[in-house]
Amino acid sequence: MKRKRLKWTSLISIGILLSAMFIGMSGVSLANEFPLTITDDLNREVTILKQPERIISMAPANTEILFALGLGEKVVGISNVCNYPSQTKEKEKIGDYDNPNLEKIIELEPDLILASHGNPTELINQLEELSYAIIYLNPKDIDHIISSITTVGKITGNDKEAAKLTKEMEERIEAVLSETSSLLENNRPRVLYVVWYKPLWTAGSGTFIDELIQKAGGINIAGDIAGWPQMNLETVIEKNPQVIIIGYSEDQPKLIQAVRNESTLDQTDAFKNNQIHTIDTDIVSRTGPRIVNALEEMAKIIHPEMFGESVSD
Amino acid sequence: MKRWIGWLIVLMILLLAISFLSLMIGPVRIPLTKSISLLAQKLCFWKSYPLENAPAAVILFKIRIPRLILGMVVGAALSSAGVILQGMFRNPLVEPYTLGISGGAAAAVGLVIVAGLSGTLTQIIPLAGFAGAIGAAILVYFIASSGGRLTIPTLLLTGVIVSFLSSSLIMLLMSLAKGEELHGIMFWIMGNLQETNLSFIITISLIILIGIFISFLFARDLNALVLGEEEATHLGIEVERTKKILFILASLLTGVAVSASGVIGFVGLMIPHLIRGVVDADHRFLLPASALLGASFLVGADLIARTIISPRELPVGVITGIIGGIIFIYIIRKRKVEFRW
Repeated sequence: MKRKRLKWTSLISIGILLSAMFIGMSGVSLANEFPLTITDDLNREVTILKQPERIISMAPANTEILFALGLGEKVVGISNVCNYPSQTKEKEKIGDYDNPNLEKIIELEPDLILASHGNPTELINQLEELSYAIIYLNPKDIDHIISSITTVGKITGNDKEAAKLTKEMEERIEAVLSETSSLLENNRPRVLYVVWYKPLWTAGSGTFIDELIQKAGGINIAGDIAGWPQMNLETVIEKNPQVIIIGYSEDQPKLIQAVRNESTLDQTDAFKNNQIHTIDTDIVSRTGPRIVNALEEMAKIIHPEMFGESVSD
Repeated sequence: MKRWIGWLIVLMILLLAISFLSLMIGPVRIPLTKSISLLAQKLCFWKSYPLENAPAAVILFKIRIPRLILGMVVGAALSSAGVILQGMFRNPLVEPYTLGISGGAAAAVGLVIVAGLSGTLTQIIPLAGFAGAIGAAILVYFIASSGGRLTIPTLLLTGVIVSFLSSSLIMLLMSLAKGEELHGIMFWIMGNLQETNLSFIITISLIILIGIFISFLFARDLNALVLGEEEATHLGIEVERTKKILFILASLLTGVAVSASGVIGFVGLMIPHLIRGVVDADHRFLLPASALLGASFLVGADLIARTIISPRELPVGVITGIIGGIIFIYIIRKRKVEFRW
């Protein structure tokens, strides 16, 4: 008898344990299980005591994630360069992206601070010492952006919205990849991305731009150089880009003219076939939800025959 | 005299050799025979050149040759300006950089970039650089000559102050600039010979050659000024007028050079000292010899800048600084250079 009861209790408790694990793993909305502890991209364990109500975003990508998750109302402070979506205009500014103002941050009484690559580490350490909940995000590729969005959803108690957003992003990425991933080398146009001219400054391997070019079905002619190289014009002529994409920002509206005027590139395929395009630098460099827009736009530029004409230029 | 001519011939051969190397070597390998046959054909056919659009020809004629010419004239201009300024100031540390001329150019370019004006005009950056250089020179000149007479210590001090002023202005602009703009300014401050507009290069080459020629006419006056202003007056030189002309000449040479290449330090400082120390300090020799060696030095430095980590490029100002510095320290240690005037 005794033995039988023990067996039942253990069976039931195992059952409860299993279902708890299942619920935990599937992430279904046990949203408000604060406090929660997560490991951020600086490998720091950060505990968030309660669902954040006053969030500061120190980088444009983080701001875009927060707004996309419907957390715009809770954002109390953003950096000077956060300019998307348009509601950011009304938000309090905490200083430059690379130089946020500590006092301003403290004044805003945040219960969550989202930092990112490019924010000064000294400031992050200071805020940590002052025991603010500060999460550092530093995505290295598009998959990592998606997991960052999941993280932000989790720490803000918005898992559901995050799941919806990431699913939509994944589907849109898949829609591009299903066309481009099987492309053979000779169906992939050679692309030159221009960050600055002159001298010519481009985006090499390890950058989001490089990843976007590849995923959009192109070959980055600077793909064999790491980082953000200043590139030799001779090499550009030798590699003969078929598409030239120029990073466009409102602050530098005439950059495209500077490239178009470069007569030494006249004989490249891109010039001959007038394949000189622009893309918004904000969407190709920010590690937020709009990276998918960047991918779709790149795909249209590089493969108009598959994705329809690009509207950018 | 004979010794001078011998040295000038040596320096000319050196320049020719380095120029040839820099045409033949680059990030893209063009076989020697091909380069030579392309050159020969270009010389034969000239305007009706058949291979105009072949990549190797584009690289050779539209990239390497313009860049070579630019390197030569900028190197020559900077070292000539160095000779003139060091001579008239009788000070071993003077060069366009220390007088605020380069700094003024950099500040003006920074302003144009941060204001988002780069690209509005084809040559707006060079124009801004030139305006900044000449503007700084005029500023230095007027502050220093407010008493009616241009005394050298005042001029020097004013130059250093204007130089500090403009570097603070650059820092201010850089801290306000965004990512791309910041790099744009940095590229320019560190010097760069990536210029392909041939008519622009020819224009500045002509100005520089004329400038160097005129400065050569003042070689005897410079020799006299080195002895001291009083001595120069005794030798029948109109000191005030000569100083003005020389200062304008040096500013013009520097302004034109920086406008095309950005700020390239050390050439103007080092090359004149080298020639003076190793061969002779007579300006009739010093001027052409420095121009030749400066040209070789900058072309050589640029060869390294564009090939050492190709297809990346390094800013040439970094190379001139490092290599020039090392050579200079070595020579001073060997005591081959005495700072004689």
